[in-house]
Amino acid sequence: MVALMADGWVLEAEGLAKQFGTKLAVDGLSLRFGRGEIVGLLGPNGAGKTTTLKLLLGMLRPTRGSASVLGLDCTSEATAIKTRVGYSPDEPSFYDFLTGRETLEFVTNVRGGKPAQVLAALAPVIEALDLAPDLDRFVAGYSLGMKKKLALLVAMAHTPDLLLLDEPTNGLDPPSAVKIRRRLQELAAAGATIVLSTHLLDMADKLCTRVVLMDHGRLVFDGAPGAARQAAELGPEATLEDAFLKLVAA
Amino acid sequence: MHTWQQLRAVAVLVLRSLHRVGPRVRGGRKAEPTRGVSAVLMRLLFAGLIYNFGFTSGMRIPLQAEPSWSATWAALGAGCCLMTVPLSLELPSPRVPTSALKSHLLEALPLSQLSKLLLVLAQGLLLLPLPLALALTLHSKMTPTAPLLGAVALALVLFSSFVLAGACLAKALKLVLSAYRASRLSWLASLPMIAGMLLLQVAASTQVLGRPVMGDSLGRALAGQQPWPVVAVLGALTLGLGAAFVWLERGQELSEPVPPDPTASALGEGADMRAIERVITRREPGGSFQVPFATLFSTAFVGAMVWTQRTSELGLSALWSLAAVITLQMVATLGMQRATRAATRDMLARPLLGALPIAPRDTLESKAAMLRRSLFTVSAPLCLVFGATVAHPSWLGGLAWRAGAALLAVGIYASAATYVAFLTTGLGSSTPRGGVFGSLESFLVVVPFAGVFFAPGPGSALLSLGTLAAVTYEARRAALRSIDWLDDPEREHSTEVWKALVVFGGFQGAQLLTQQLASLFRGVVSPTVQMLSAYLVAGLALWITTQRGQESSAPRHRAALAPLGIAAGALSAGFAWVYVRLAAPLAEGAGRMEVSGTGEAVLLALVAVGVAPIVEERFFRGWLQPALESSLAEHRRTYLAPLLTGLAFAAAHPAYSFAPVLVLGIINGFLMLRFRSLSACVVAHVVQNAFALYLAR
Repeated sequence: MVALMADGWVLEAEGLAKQFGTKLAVDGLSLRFGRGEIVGLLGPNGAGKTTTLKLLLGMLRPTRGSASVLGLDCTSEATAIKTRVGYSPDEPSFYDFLTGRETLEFVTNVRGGKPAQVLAALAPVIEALDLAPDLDRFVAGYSLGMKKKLALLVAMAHTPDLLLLDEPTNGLDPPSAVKIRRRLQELAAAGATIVLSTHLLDMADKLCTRVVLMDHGRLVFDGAPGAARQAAELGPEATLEDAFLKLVAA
Repeated sequence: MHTWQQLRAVAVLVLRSLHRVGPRVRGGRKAEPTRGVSAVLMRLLFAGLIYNFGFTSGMRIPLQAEPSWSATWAALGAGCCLMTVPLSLELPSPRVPTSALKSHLLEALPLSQLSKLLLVLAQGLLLLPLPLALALTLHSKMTPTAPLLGAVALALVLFSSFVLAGACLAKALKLVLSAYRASRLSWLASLPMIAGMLLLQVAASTQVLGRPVMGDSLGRALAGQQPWPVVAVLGALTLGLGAAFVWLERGQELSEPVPPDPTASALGEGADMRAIERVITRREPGGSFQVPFATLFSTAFVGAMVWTQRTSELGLSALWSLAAVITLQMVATLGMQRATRAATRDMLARPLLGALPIAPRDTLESKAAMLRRSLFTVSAPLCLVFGATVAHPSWLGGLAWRAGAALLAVGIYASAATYVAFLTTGLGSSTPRGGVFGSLESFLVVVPFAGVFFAPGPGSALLSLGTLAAVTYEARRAALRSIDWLDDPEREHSTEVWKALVVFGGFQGAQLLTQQLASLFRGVVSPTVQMLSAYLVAGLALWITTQRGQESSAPRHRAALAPLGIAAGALSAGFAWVYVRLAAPLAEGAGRMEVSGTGEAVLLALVAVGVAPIVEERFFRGWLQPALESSLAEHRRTYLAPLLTGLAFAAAHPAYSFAPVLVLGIINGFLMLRFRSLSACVVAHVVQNAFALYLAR
């Protein structure tokens, strides 16, 4: 399923930087993610997590540096990237005048897929997320949690090789959050790479095989959650939150 | 294959947006789009109004000394109007509502350049009737024997080239300035609209513009003389602009966060809502420049008009008309745009505002006050027309009442625009529509507003002012009610009277639209038949709408009341007879319908005596009056309902028949109040109309 590059990296960024006016949102970020990894993008507000995700999807152009996803350049081949990458924004935006089902059909048609097949494949996830009864209602009437669920379905609909998720469980009820977590683990086991930005450090600790900690646009730490404790010179009984606070304060 | 599938998906999306994003005339408690016909009707109405604008301009152009020059300027004017849509949609304005078709969802999808081009053209689709009307009208007036296909093709390429030109301009601005800086200039998008409308108006009214620099081949093609070479050139231009759009799009960022301004606390300038509103407005895109710029723009135009009249004999009426057109367009465009933006801002900030101790009244009034100040500034150059009295002192009297009425209307309009924006776009909207332009509600306000500017005499101006004030008053009530609805969705959204008014706005719009469509058959059917058919179609639409609204509390049918209706009709007709004898000579602009042949006479009789009484009574006495009664019941002033309904009934008729229609309206209102039946009202209306036909025979 995953088109591996010659060097084996699904995502590669080198010296990635983005400046808005005088503010440097992302500052010289270098990353390499492999197949099947679940990467937690952590950091305080304004650390540059969302900007990084948008840079990787080609929605923003880097001020400096370069990034490639699945061997495709994030700037010049953004359209091709979007056919193979799923993205769920922090604040999902939909057409209010479409129903949930019509939204999924539209997205699938734009991607060149077969709506009937995609909806059939998504049926268990839709059922698990408890969205089936509302799928034929207009999105205008959806709550934030329902929109988040729909955004995740949109991101997963084409079984992408890479999933970029911005605060995926924000606004979801605990049972749905657990189901999403399980689904992400299944996808990763099947070979997909998942990059998720989150403030929920407990979830990152349980779910992620790797965490990337950012602060003021810079990379502070990159490694396994356990290694973060060591980097922060904390014992194994310390939580990821303790490590996070110490590393950011440093 | 994939491209085709994507284009089909985008086309379906466009069609669904046209069908579903629209007003919800009845009900409106759930924030859900409509699945009914109201959205389609609203769009047809808007398209009809746009068509009407192009049509009226096209009708006047052949009367000019150099029609091909005027036609060229008019085509450029229409083109400028078309550029507005892509400009306003492409410039990212996070604080201004966007099109129903614009969504962040698209940013993460692999949309091809062709699909993006289709979306850009689809966003401007509702303005397509403008070049179409211009081309078709000029074709039928100047070269009716030439093939129609040339005119249609010319309109299509004119549309696509100018829409794409606007999109390219916006993309280039974003590329040069950055998306964020370009968003600060989003107010510039209103300029092509104003300039375009002015060009169209001036081109169709006077020869002041002279020969176009680019030559008049476009105008000649529009007039039906060898259109195909121009179609080919504009087609090539469209392709070139399409390619330019694709090239510019390639280097664009799709989204860019807007960094906050280093702002001081608005509260620091005084903790009242007006001060806060002032600070916020100033910091919005174009907030500091828009009003001075618009004022300078209209000053230059009105000043030039006044200067021209010193050497050429324009006449008071022509001078006022031109000055009024400029002022009206500046005020209407700026007013609706600013009101929409303010309402949207509140919608976005609802989580913050909802928790603050701000009275709904203050929220609305502070916006209205701010807008009033801006619009007075913009319309101030209207006073320059008094400069013309240096050359013609006798004009002073004629100008004084016009300017006074116009400025008063501007003040009322500022409030009306605020309330309408609130009801259609902002927090008070059950289905936010991304803008108030083209909504039935804005039509309700703009028609009497324009009526004040173009009133033939002080009486008509007063009538239009009264109508504007009444509509504004009800809009305010509806807006305040909507705020209660926000806090408690179980309460009624808007007011019944406002909903009734919106339906009536639709009736009048449908009549206008049908009349314009019927005018395409000029030569086949007479103007009288066109007018009567338009009334029949619009009347049918109104009847169906009121029928649906009266399922639960339909007035009873009581045949026994027929004699009472005859007596009431006789009383009203008696007043009409006295009025015609004594006061009619004083009435302004009394018109008379020309009827030729028995067929037309029968049709007129059928409409006047058969259809109009049923349709109008159903709406005014059957729907509007009960709505007013329920509103007035709280204050135990139900008896005022017949008077107010009568006034609305009379205001909806031509000014010269105001008094007799008012009397009939009041009599029928009291009959309805007393007997809860439309039977007597319909009979009285039949008698009155039959008598009017007899008088006009």
